[in-house]
Formats: sequence, structure tokens, C-alpha cells
Amino acid sequence: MSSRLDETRGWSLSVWVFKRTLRSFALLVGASFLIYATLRTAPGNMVDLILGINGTEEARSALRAEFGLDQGIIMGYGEWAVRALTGDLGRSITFSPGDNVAEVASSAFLVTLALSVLSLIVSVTLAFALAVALGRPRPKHNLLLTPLSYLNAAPSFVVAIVLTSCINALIYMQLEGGGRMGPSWYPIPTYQAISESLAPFSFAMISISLGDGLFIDLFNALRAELRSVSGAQYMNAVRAKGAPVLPHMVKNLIVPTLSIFTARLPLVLSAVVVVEYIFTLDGSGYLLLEAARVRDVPLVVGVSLFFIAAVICMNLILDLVKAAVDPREVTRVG
Amino acid sequence: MWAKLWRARNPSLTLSMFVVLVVLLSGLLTPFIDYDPVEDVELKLRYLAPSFEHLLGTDGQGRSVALRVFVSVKAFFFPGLIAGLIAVVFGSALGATCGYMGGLIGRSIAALLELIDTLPRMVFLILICTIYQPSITLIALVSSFLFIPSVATLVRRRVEALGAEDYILAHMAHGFHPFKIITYHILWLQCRALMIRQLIFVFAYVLFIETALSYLGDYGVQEPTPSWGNMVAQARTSPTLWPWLFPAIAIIITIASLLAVGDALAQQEEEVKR
Amino acid sequence: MNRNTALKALCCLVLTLFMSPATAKVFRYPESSKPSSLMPFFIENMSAVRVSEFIFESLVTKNKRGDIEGVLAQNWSASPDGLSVTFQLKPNIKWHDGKPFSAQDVVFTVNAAQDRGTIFGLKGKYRFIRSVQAVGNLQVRFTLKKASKKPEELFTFKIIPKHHFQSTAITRLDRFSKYPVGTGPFKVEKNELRLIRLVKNPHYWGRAGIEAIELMHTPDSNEQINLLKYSGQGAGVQNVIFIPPKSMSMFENSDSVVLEPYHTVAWWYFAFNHKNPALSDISVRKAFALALNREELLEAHLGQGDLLSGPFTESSPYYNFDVEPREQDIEEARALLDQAGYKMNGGVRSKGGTRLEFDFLVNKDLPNCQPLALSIQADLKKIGIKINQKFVDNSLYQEQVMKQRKFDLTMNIWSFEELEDIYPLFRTSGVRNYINYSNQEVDVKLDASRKESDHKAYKELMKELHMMLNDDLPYIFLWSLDIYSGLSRRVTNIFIQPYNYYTFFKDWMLK
Repeated sequence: MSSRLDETRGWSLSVWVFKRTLRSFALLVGASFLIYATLRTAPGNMVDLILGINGTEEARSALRAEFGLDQGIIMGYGEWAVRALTGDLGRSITFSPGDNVAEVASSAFLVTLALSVLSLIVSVTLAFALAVALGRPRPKHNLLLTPLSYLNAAPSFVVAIVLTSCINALIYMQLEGGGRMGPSWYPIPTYQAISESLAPFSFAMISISLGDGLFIDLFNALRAELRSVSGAQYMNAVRAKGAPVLPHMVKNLIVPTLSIFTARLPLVLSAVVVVEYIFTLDGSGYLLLEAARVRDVPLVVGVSLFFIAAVICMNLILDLVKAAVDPREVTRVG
Repeated sequence: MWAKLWRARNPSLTLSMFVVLVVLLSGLLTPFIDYDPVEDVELKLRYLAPSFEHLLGTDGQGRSVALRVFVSVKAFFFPGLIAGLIAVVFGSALGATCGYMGGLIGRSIAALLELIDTLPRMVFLILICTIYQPSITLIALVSSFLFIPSVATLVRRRVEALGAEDYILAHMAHGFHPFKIITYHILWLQCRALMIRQLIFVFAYVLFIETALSYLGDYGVQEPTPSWGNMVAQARTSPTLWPWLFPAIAIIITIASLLAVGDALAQQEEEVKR
Repeated sequence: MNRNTALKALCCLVLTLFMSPATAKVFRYPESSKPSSLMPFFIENMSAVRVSEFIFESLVTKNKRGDIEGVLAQNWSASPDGLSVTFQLKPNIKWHDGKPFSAQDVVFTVNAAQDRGTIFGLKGKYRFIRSVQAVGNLQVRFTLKKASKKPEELFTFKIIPKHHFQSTAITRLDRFSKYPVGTGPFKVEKNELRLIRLVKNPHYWGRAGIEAIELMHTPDSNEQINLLKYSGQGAGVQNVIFIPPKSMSMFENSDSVVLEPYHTVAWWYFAFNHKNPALSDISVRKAFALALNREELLEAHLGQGDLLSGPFTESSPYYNFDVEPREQDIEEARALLDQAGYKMNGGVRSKGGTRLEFDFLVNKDLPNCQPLALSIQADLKKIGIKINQKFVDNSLYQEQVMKQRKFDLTMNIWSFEELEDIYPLFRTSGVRNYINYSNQEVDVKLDASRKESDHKAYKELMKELHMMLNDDLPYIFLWSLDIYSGLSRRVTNIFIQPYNYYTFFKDWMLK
């Protein structure tokens, strides 16, 4: 078939990098257009929300013009895209009037990203430790792993709910004998600015690391990689030489770990959106929901853009790292 | 294929299969059960603990939790099944077309699929829900749409790999119609387990997303119709555990079992390939 | 050291990581929605109404007894023909940025409000002013379009500073929406994503009791209650604007929280879309009204209040006490439907091709709307009417119900600033008549009331309308609620203004 012929032709690396970057950019444009179009075709727009039942037709059309809602979808997107290229994502209209979308969205997304990355790192580390500790798969491992995989399958926000309920119940039981007021040092598990208390953030991180089957998934993947690396031919050579095995294993695990990381990032980002809401963190999940509720087009598109960009960037970085490590592999698969 | 799983004598796997079977049966039975959520309201019996009369207690409206947990299967069963079927059928079709045809058409379809794949699923679904407030069936349809690319990619890779195999080329030389080759020889014989696994996965995802959306903002299945999602949402307001703990357990067990069965199928395939 | 204390110590140690500092002298309160804007023109939700009370002031306001009192104005005099009024402003008032307040700011405010380039929904409030003129620095003269006996009552709008704007055409995206400058007792220190922090205005001409205020955006009302529970420790919040009835029992015997009642001019109603052929039949509407057990609905889901028979609250001067609210009468309701020709057909009545099955759209923001709708559904089922409820969020509700009028039934609240103005609600093609209601006799009375300037006659007209509307049932008038706020006992000298809430906040103290 024709596609196989292309692969064996073998493009040079720099051309490949260029094409890959271009493809990423095209994906960014396409995905953001889809989001923009979805919002523009939504029932209920900003203008009706603002003017409500009181507005005159004149006022409505004036506002619509001001907010760019009177243009066609493609024109409107085009305008937005041109400005976005210069870094201007527009200004929020109904959610936080006048605010620079890029600023608001980026600071909120930082929280989300931090939460996702930290949760993943925690999960990866724990999974790695367990994989190393258990060594080769043996039947008796299932005694531990099966119930663990069952519990782990819980959606992360269910973990969050159960976790906070349990802790609340315990604390109240321990100290106040079931009274309504908690102790002064027990953090109100919800609403605290991150500058005030890390509690909600930590609770959220724990919930995400322990939910959605993430931990078991990582564990299985890492264990498989460990086995394949330790069983590889060259490792026998290393062992024969008498050299330490671990540094070699770790070096060869970097790329697989990175790809495991990248593959799970979208899942974790999704989980974060819900958990953020439970712990009232200032993240993009909250922003997205509230902005969509008031149909704030620039803000919703801006926040979504960050989500899309994060995934696309991670994939691009992963491919570039893979190319740096083994150029043959990337040019072969096209 | 199923027989091999049964013979594996893996107790946890057996348990998972049992749970999946229970869910399947419930899903098929519940449409025939005449549960009227409006009739069930008995304000005098609110928030009771589990007892002989109400096996799992009652919720804020005095309704029996046990009965509602059972009836809730109806809420996600058919939407999930439909979503799974659509994702698998369309995904396989597109993937096979892509893999077989290659060239410009193949690459453009692949590009379009990659575009849809890039959209963060939860973000897009939240958007759709806040904007349109759709029914669970619509949510399931949108979810299936978002899963088509991943199914398609898997099928495409398989089709491309097999396309070069000798026996396929032999079939083509013999004059078998390519359509039959793709649908029967490739998809049915080789990709069957893969497709079933994807179907299970999408089904589980629909359950998951219904729960998440109900919790986030009362989207998804609306009161008074029961669903595990909107029952768990009561955790925010309920002073007792019962109304939401049992649905939460049901969700965890169901998702875990579905994924376990799916993984077992995948593992079996790996072993066959080796 | 026994196991329990060891466990406690370990918890303490672990949780020191999570310690939150006690914020003693700050008044914190949560809001379900962010203020639409901090600029007075662009106030579109109650959250914005409340917060603007801290930041801005008007020429005059109604004091606790209900009389007009000068705020920025010292005194005023109306011309004998009632067509103009002159205000004398208080001297030495400064804006938050230190610049002096003068008559030019008042002139600017009115010109900006009336400017065609400043687009906002409540422009109608400023239409009564024909022209405005500054006479020196401390005097402003207004000429009005229509003569008014007490013109000063119309000047309760907030004043904005001229020197912060380029022109009189103001857009909501102006920086002022986020960082406003007013003359009020508090100024904005920071305005973040979920938190707005206000501090005492150092230049304030009067006195304020509290040092700082923090407004937190907390969309979930259960969260708000949780935060109030912790107010005893100095953390959490000191005030929750609306305590849902089911949470009230939590605070009944609390030693750190007190429940303060206040009465808003607001009433709940159940609306029919009169375009629907079945609903335009008065017998059907009467059957609806007789099927609902309003007393039980109120008690079970919302707490205390008054059942209403017309479009006014019981404390309104227009309420007609001769008209009794209907009581539930299932038999009568069934008889009415039978007489009208709607026969039972498998649980749902129908006549000819029309089934009594309707779409019931409810705004999610309505307190306790889910169980309420459920009970209503159950009540109506008893007489053979099937309703399918759909809960939608505010944006969708505005679009579908208010704008497109694609609904059969809905339930909502009308709230008024002071006295009920029912003209736009029930007049054919009235601005707020989204139910497609049209009744000639009611129109005649409404038009007459608009022209009536005598208070007594106006009251009589309103009472007649009360009776007519109770008979003709454009809505089923449900109830008005006794609303309770939750306040920490550390807050003293409290007086809650029913609509604006924080009008008298400068008198409040925090121990």
C-alpha cells in the first residue's frame, strides 16, 4: 500500500521537526476554532444576560457590535486568531469585565497545571517505588494488587468526597465528641487562598493521585518497562562486566516514563477540573465553568486554549525528545 | 475468547465478570420495572439508616436508596451502549478506511481524527453541558464522538500491519472484494477483541462522565429520575452517609469491573500474538 | 502518653502544614455570584447591588425610618411647580483617591447615564431628568420632565467621579469596573478572581465601624453554610446573606451565630404561558391553583412565609386582605377539569387532541427548586396533569423563557426595590409580561393607575387589580418568604436594608 512506501523514503530530521511543529500549530488552530464555534452557536448569549428583559433593540445591537457577536463565525474567529498571535486574547466581558483574558487564564491555568503535574509526579513516584519493590510479577502479588486496582478505579472526585467525609468524621469524633464546631487548627477544607493554606491543594492532589485508575495504570506500565529493560540483551552485558545495573536502567527508562507521563496528562487534566471545583481552588476548572455559565466567549476560548496548548505542547516535546534520543524511530513511522 | 477468560481461574477476574453480568442483566430488566420516582416521595421517612424495610436506607425525599440504586442502571445503560457501539462502528470504519486507502484521503481523515482527539474531553463536555444542558443520551453521543479517533487509530494501525501479511495479499490475489477482506478477515477475526475492549471502555466512560457532570452542576440525568451521579451529588447536602455512599460504591465497583474485563481481553490478545 | 493523645499530637504535627492564620478584624461574606461589575451603571445582579453600597454614595437615601435623608447632599429645595429641584452638596467630601468631590461629578454622572454610548439595562431610571447644571462647586440644579411632588425620592442613584473617565460614553470594559473610585466608606484594595478586598476609606467624611471587608465568590450555598459554621474560631465568614430553610435548624441554638430576619419586597409565583391553548382556558388554570397544597409546599421546602392571593406582599400598602388565598381542593379541581371536558386517559387528562402535559422550566438558582418542583409535580399528578420539569441555568433560562418564551409553565420570584410596580408585568405587551398574558379589563385599570397621582385612589386601583388578578390567574401567586441571614455574634449594631442589604453597614461593628 502506498503509505508504506512513504515511510521507507526516510525524511531528514530537520524537515521532520518542521513538519511536526507545523502540524502542532494546525491542531491548535483547529481545536480553538471548534471551541469558538461551539460558543458562538450557543443558545443564550452575553448580551441577553447583560440587558435581560430591560434592553432595547438598539442597545442590543450596539452591544453585539461592541463584543464582536454580530460577525459571522469564521470572521469572528479570524479576528480573534489574528490578535491571539500577538498574545492578546481579548478581555473578559461578563465574568470579570475588562480583565485581560491572557492574564486571568494563565494564572488560573498555572494552578491547574501545578496540580496535574504534581499529582502525576507523586503517582509516578509511588508506582515506580512499588514496581521496584515488588520486582518480578508473582501470583501472590495479586492479593495486594487486585483490591488496590478496584479502589483505584474510583473517579478522583469520588475519592475526594469520601476522603473529606472520612477525615471530617474522624476529627470531629476524636476531639469534639460529635459537636458541630471543629477544632481551631483544623483547616476548613474548602475555600482558602493558596497563600493562606495549602490544605485544599494537598487534599486535591491526594485525590487525583489516588483516583481514576491512574496509580495502577502507571504501576503496570512501569513494571512492564522495568522488565523489558532489565531483560534486554545489553543489560546482560552490563551485568557480566560487573557494573552497577541501576544507572543503566534509569537512563533507559526516561523516554518511556516521559511518554507514559504525556499519555496520561489529558486524563489528569480532566480529573483536575472536577476536583478543583470541590475544593474551590482558583484553577481553570472553576474559571471554565463559571465563564461558560455567563457565556463569556473570550474567556472560555482563552482558558480552553491553554488546555489544548498544554496537551499539544507535551506531545510535541515528547516527540522532539524521542527524535533526539533515536532519530531513526521517528522518521520511520512518519 | 470468553471461555478462555473463564478458564483462567483468576478469582478477581471472575468477580469482575460477575459484576459486569449483573449490570448487563439489570440494564435489560430495569426498563420493565415500573418505578415512579414521584410516587416514591414520602417526606416522613427521610434519611433513615439501613433497615429490613429499606435495605440501604432512605434519602432526603424518603425514597428507598436500594431501589433507586438498582433502577439507576437504566439511566446510563442504553446511552452507554449506544455510545460504545457508535464509537466502535464509526471508529473501526474510519480507521480501516484510513489504513487501507492511505494516500491523501487516508491522511486527511487521519488529520481530522487527530484534531478531534486533541480536544480535551472533559473541557469540551463541560462546555457543552453548561451551554446546552443536554440529556444524558446527547452527552453519551458527544462522548462517543470524542472517542472515535482513539478507536480509529488502533484499528488503523492493525489494518496497516495486517495489510502486508501474506495471507491477506493472497486473498486479494484470489479476487476477494476488499470490503469483505476488511470487514470479515481483518476486523472480525483480528480486531474483535480490540473493538469489544473499546466498547467496554466507552461504556465505562459514559458512566463516569454522567457522575462527574451530575456532581459538578446538576447536568446529566435530572431529578427525579435516579442515577448514580445525581445520587452521589447529594453528598453535598445530605447529613447522613446512606444516600450517597452506596451509589458511590456501585460506581466504583462497576467501573473497576468493566475495566478489569477489558484489560483481561487485551492481555489475552497479547498472549495470543506472542 | 496514651494512644489517643499520641494520635492527636501526630495530627497536629501533620496539620501544622495546613494551618490557616486567624483573620480577626476582617468582615468576610460569601456571594453565590460574582458582582457583574463594580461600576454602578453595570449592576446586573444582587451581588453587585450589595457591594456597591460600600463603595458609592448617592445624593439622598431612605433612612431606617423610611424618610429621605441627605448623604452627599446637605439639603435641597424643589421649585413650586415641581419641575426643578436644587441640591446643596456637603463640603469637603473627597473621593477614594483624595481628589475633591464637587457638583461637576454629579453633572457628569447624569450625562454619562444618558449618553447613547453608555449601554446598560436600567437607563430608564435616569430618564426623568431633562437637564442638569452645576451652579458653582457645591450646588446642582435639575429640571425634570414631569412635575413631581417629592422629586428628591428619585435621586437615589450613585455618583461617579468625572476625573476617572475620558468621555461620557462609558463601556463596561473600562478599568473602572474592576477598580472603582467612589465616595463611600470603603475602597477597593484588591480585586482577584474569587476575592474582593475592601478597606476603610481614609478620606471618608463620615465614620465606619469596621476596618476591612472581604467578599468571597462561593457558588455553592452549602459551602457558604460551612464557612459560617466556622465563624466562631475567627476564620470563615461573618455573614451569609440567605440561609436556606433546611439549614436554619443548624444555627437555632448556636452560641456563635444568630439568625436575623429581614423582609424583602419579593414574592414567588407559578406562571402559565398563555399562548398554550390548554393553559389559556381559565378552568384549567383554576384547577392548577386548587391542586397545589401551597401551605405544605412552603413549610416542607422553604420555611416560614405568608401565602399570597395577589401580586403584593402582606406588608405592602396595596395588599387586599379581603381576597383569601385559595386552599387545596383536589375534588373541586377534578370537577372543574371534568366540566371543561378533560377526561382521564391513562393517568393524564385530555380533550380532543390536547393532553394536559406540559414543560415546566425552572431556573436552577431558585432556592430548593428541585424538591419543590417534585412536590408540585406530585400534587398535579393527583388531578391528572403531567408536568415534565427541566432545570436550566440562568443563561439558558433568560434565553428560553424570557426571550424566546418557549415554555409552558415556570416558577420564579419577582423582587422589587420598594413598592411593587405591576404595570410591566400584566399589561398586554408589558416589558416584563413574558407570559403572553392579555386581559382588556386589567389593561384599562393598569392604564388608569399610571395616570393616577392621588395616593388613595392609586391604592384602591391596586386593590381592585389584586382581586381581578386573583380571579383571572395570569400566575398562581404563591408566597413571600421570611428571609433569614446568618450573622456571627461578633457583629453588632446590625440593620439590614431589605433590598440593598448593606446600606447601613457603616454603623455595623465587629468585636
